[in-house]
Amino acid sequence: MGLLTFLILVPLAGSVMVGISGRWAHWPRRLALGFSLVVLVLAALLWARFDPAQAEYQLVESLRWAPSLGISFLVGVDGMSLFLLLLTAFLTPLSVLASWESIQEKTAAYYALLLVLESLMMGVFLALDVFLFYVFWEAVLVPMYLLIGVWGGERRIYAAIKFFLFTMGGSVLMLVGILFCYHLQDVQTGAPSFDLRLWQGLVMSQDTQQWLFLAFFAGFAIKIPIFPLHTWLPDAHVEAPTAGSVILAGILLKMGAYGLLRFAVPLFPEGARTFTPAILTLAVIGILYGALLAMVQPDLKRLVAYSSVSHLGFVVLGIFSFDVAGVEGALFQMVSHGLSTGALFIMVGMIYDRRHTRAIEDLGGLKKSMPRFAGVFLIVLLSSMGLPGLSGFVGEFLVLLGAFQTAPPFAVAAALGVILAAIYLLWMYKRVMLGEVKNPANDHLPDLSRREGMILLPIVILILWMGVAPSTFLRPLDGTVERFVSRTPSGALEE
Amino acid sequence: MGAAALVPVLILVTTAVVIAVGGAGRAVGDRFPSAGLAWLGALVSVLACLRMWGHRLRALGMVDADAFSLFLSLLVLFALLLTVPVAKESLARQKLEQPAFYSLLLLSAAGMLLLVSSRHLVVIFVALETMSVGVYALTGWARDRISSLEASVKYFFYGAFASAFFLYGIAFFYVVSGSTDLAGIEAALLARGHDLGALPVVALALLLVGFAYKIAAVPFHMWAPDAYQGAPTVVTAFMAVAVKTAAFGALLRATGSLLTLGEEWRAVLWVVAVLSMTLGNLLAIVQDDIKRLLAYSSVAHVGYLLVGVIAGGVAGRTAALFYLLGYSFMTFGAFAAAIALGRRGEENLSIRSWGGLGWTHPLPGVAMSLSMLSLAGIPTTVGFVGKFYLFGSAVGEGYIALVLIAVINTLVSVYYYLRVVMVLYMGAPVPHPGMHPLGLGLRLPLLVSSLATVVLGILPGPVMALARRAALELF
Repeated sequence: MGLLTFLILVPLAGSVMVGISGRWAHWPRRLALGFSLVVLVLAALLWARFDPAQAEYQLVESLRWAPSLGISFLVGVDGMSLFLLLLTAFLTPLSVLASWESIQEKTAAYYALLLVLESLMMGVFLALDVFLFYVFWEAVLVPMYLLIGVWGGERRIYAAIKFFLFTMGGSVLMLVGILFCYHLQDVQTGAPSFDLRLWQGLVMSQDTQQWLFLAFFAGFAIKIPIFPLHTWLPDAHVEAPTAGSVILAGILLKMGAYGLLRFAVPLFPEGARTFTPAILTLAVIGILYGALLAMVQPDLKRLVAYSSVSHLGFVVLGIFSFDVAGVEGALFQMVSHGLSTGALFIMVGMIYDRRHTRAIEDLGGLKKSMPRFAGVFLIVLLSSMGLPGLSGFVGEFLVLLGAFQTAPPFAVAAALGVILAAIYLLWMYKRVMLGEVKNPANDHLPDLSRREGMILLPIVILILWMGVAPSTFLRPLDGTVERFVSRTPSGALEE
Repeated sequence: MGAAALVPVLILVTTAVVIAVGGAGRAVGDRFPSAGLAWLGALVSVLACLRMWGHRLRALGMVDADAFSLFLSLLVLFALLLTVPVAKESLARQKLEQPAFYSLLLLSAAGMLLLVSSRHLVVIFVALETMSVGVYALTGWARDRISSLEASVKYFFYGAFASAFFLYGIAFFYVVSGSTDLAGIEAALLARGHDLGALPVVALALLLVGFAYKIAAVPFHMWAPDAYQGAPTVVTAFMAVAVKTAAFGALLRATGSLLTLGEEWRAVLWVVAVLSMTLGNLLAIVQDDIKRLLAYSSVAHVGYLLVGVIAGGVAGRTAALFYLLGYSFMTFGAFAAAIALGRRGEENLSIRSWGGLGWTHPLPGVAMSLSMLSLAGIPTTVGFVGKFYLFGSAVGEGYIALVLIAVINTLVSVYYYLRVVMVLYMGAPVPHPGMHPLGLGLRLPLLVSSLATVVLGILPGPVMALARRAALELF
């Protein structure tokens, strides 16, 4: 067992410990924080041991699992998964801290589920065996379902079941696709296997590729979510507890984009090519539609949720530009969005803790009593908007750059989304933070506490770091992304 | 020769007789340890089965103890081992405990063992009756409850119908082939070549109708919801798990030889499978009584299991056998949890009334939730691995449309399975006076079935290998 297995097992072990620590009042959250920090250290270690020069999977570990069925516990990491793993390890302790005061009931179960979720998300990003991937992918639904359904807001049950059914609806189609590939692998090589690396050598007709791509795409598109499959997202986000929203927006949505990068496109490049125009259209619609909807939301959390739809549209645009810059931009944007949107959800949660409302019209002039809060909020918001010097800019810029190379009309339309984002975010900032205090309840609110500062500071540092020195984060991507692009339709054409 | 292959059956019958004689005339609550004896008998029978594993024994030329029959016999016996302690605890609550109960339970289990061990249609018929008669009586065990009696009568009449169909089928086969042995029939029919005529088709149809009744496949499922609901819950659990296993096992064995006769039977089974899962799932959505919900869910699961039969081959039958095993544990867990959630003196089977109970009753809550997730086919449970392999075998044979229908059905089923989890953990707490304290008789079966559900979901390999070995006997 190596480092990668520990990334999956440590949080799992932590969840067991947390689960049985329930009788001692403060121990669940302390233990959860401790274990998630250990995972963070392990992830940092992973980064240190990662060799950016290598394009193939690294630190691969393989354990026999059900050999007669060709299933193995096969994990590995490459540039695509590295930063998503780091993001997972980074956001989980912050989610624990964000729940520190606001979750008072059934804390042991809550933190245990949070750690289970972390373990499963790690598994999703690490698995190189498709069966293993699917197990993690589906299993993620259960803790998230419970987090939303038990600790969520008023309409939590509706939101939880909607989340579960939507995502599972896509996954079952993907399951049929997986079974079919497995069968092909068995027929073509005589040895059943779920090893992703072997699946890339499968021979398929154009027709088969199209169907299989659609099956996989269904599973991933709902998770991202791509317009018009996004309707579960605002409900889930609004009803989820803060930590749930952070993880949902920060990591779960990325699982969909990651799935496209890791499975759907490389396995079925011809299928992907057929549908690229349609997908680009949907991505751009998502960018603009999400932004327009965000603009008119009366609820802060809903606004952030719709902004996610818009931002994830950029990710899809970048992936399907099949250009090195575009794909790197998409990956960069995934991490950056995880940070900034995570921070936004956390801060909306902080406002809610103080005012017990998220309605924009009830707020206003918060900057007066919470200057530090307002400052951090602005940085995060500007990053989300794509201001140069902050992380959000790099991602969006690269995505647009890539898209201009291969799909200029879509890039032009998407660029409009950047402007719309500036409008809805700044307008929201004005209505919430600036102006006179009209409602006396907004006066004399406590500014950031030390715990809250501790949550936000690392995020702000990372946002600045990624914005100022993006090459640190882009270099490890190079090899992997070039390998990805060389296998995509446009890459094949160039050869 | 010799009767060694019959030893597990004989052990059960002997124990049943001992309990019946020893317990006769004793009052309720008397100290005669009928439950303990029954459990011991089942355990000894398990040991006998394990001893025979790897040998191929045949008794009286009609009963085989091969890997296939031993695999299913062990499944039935495990169900028995789980049922007896639950019965002791739950019947004592309802003041229904009597030695005769265990006696009948063992006799019907003996019938099941015989049912899965025979290649001879007449023996299969006798075994089917032995199994059924016991279960009819057990279904009506709560004599002061009219619904229990109604269930028993309904079950009996439908069962009698099924038997008649079955017997007719055997008669036709005998007319055609002069044999009632599966191998003999197959050989005789193969010798006739392509021109089979109408009779074998009619015979097979009648046989399949009989089986369809027993396993509650649409359109012969109508008895199931009422019988499930009316019977004492522990009997329902036994019925849902053991009866289904045994009847489905016999179906697998019979179809293994007879379905080679014509491809069109796959088309018929295809329709039955699709109807079973679709109707079962749609009707389960609107149920509030957990037993009715599980009844319709069992109908849906017959549909999934038939996918394996349709796919055929080693893979399809291995998948069906493995799924039967997984299904046994998850279903038993659900019923046992439902019993554990009962109030003092009465059963509490309305899902609506379980609000928040998952938090106050962790063991039944977790067991029920795991069962539901497993029935829904969510990963890390045996239900997922089972479905994966079942549907995989069908994809391998080219039944893509069938698998698509099946996965969409799975999606529908998630809705009602999750509803149970939702009520248990997210529902508003319902005032819940006087819960029974859980005795070991419920705790252990709950633990065992929950553990099996998860462990087999994570490490299916070894058991899958056993199922494969059992499936290979069908060729």
